[in-house]
Amino acid sequence: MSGYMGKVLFVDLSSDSFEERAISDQVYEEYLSGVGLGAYILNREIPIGADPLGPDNVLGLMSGLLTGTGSLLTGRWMVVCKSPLTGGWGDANCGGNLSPAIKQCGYDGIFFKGAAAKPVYLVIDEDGSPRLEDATDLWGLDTVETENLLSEKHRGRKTPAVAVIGPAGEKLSLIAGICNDRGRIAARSGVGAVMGSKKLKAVVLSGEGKISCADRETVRALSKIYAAKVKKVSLPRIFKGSLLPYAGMVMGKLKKVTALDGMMILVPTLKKWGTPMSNSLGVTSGDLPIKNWGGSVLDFSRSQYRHLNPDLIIAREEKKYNCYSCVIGCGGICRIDDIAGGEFKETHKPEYETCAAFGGLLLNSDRNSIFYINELLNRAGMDSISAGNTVAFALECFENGLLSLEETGGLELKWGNAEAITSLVKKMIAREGKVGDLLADGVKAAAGKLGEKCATFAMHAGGQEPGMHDPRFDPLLGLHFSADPTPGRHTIGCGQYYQMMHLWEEVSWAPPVTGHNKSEEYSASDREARKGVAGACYKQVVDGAGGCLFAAMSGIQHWPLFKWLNAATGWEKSADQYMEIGKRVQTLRQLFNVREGVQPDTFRMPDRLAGNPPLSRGPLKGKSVPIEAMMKLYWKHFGWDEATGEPLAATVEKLGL
Amino acid sequence: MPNQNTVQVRVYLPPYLRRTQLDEQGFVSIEKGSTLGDLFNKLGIPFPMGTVHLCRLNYSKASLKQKLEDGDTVSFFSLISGG
Repeated sequence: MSGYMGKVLFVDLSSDSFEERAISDQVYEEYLSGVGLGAYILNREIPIGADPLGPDNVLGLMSGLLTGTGSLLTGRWMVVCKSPLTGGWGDANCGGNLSPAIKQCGYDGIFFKGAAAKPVYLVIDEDGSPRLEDATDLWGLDTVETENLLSEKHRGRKTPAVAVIGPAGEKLSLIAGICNDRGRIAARSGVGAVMGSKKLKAVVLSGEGKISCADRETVRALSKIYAAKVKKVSLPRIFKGSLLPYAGMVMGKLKKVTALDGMMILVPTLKKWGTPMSNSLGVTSGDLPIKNWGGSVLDFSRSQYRHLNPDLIIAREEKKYNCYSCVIGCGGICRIDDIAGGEFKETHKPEYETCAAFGGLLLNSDRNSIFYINELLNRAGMDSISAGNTVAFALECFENGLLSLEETGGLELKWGNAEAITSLVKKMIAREGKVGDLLADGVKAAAGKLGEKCATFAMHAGGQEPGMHDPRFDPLLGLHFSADPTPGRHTIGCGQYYQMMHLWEEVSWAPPVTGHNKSEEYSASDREARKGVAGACYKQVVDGAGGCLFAAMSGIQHWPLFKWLNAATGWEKSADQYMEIGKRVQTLRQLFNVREGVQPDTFRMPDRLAGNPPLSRGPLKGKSVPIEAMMKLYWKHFGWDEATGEPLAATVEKLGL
Repeated sequence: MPNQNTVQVRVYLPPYLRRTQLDEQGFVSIEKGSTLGDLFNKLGIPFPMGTVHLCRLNYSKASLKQKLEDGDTVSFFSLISGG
């Protein structure tokens, strides 16, 4: 046993009891750790048909197999549970500092069963002993306040790592997440609502145990090579943020799909700007959704998007922020004490997803409002992707007379009205008034209450709001929005990721990118389906290791995930064998949905995202995605039923599920 | 085709440049003793003096006069990804 801890902790919140369970080496060899181990355990522990917000649901906080071994960009932690947002498999992924802390407490994952009678939080001390403490006085506090209090109270030889829900999770908002490190959020799948339903306010981890590694020397040697490259590739000064819209214009017109060097294209821009590098570039290329996915750069013109220039975003950056084991440092801490009367001193640099969801999606060019909303949502523990999509839905309903001024509590929900948008976010967080309660659970729930007339404005896939990248710009992204067991996720895969990952250099069946026509991506084909399968399988391996998606996008030829895994564990697995593990985990996630009665074809993204009908202007003019045909081919190449998406018996048997 | 008189260099071009000199795996064969400038000429890269500032040889800065070795990697900064 090396790399992983070989055991997990079960906490029964109903009975205030604890149980350590050993996990066999074979399980790690078949599922890795992280989401894979979580899927293995939850499929056995959650009764079929369990209420996602009831005591039968099980919530797991997972570390990654490579976390703490000396590998780089492998410090992500993950949350697993049955999702109250989709009714099926739920997981979420986060940076920060919690992942090593889970392992230093002696576990690869901590699982919560049952529900407490009153608010509690879990403490694992430096000696590794767990206990529950009363959190009544913490209930109602935001995530930053709570983390500060608990960090101070339980500070010993080290400052503990803390995971916490805010008011959104407490109020069972279906778009609530779980935070750590004062605003990094495991946002998706409604995991914060599950934690809130268990009356679990926080998890405080102070363990100091060692994390084993079979061949630390090799792991470190590989890390040294990667770190040296990252250090050297800094963007020349001539690259200003004002150039990005022009780069986007070119991107929108490229005719060929070519292999790219993520180390030179992605890493330097992340080092300089972080994810907001895509803000204005996304508007002009067509990648960034505009006006609730129905508009284009012609609706959000240069005079508006220039306010989201990443140079202006990082102008507020006081210091860089690195997640655990990260040498890129795409994060930042930004000063915002001149916004909203100085309510907050600082905030994590808003990610591209937040800038887009509260920028172009709402035709909002008020940059300060985005910084402020970013901190509001981080403190509430609410998913900014889902919240932005939900506000966009409300704005379009208001525009079309389906939400009245009386129903909005007097808010003029007009496109770009930053003041009204900010007020609406506050109402959603607090479930205040009719409109706040209506929208607090995301787009699908709100549309269900407002009725059939607003259905065409409801942008979600299977209940989950889509990430801020347009499938009409990158059709493979739409495939993952529609066919992943956790729909609407922009982090599973897409054509651009694939161009940079270079999986074909190590995986025998991953199709190479050799300069085919971009137009071919808009047709269902075996090659595109295999790219989709490869991307999804690789993502499961990345999540099993605790890896960062941006590291994966720097390319397998640079970020040696499979080599690290072998060195850390002592295994001698091939790339194909690791991808088989990814296929097993992905199939198990799909099987969870099937057993819960969630039909995979119901996750299909909305017609608007598929370009049905296509936009009549802008960079995506005339683009449409044959999503049904793409889903069928993807399922077929996974060994799932082509018509229903259910894993075939032969596949289940072959994967040993 | 590579032979004993040539070296194989891996080249990652930005998506807007032509790839006619690259094989399917992204490699270029060039005569032994060739420089980075020679490679630029072979690839038909315009304005080599300006472009070299955007180029890295084995992820380090290099001049047009730098000689290429077998297995070298040549790559370019670009704000443009996708395609």
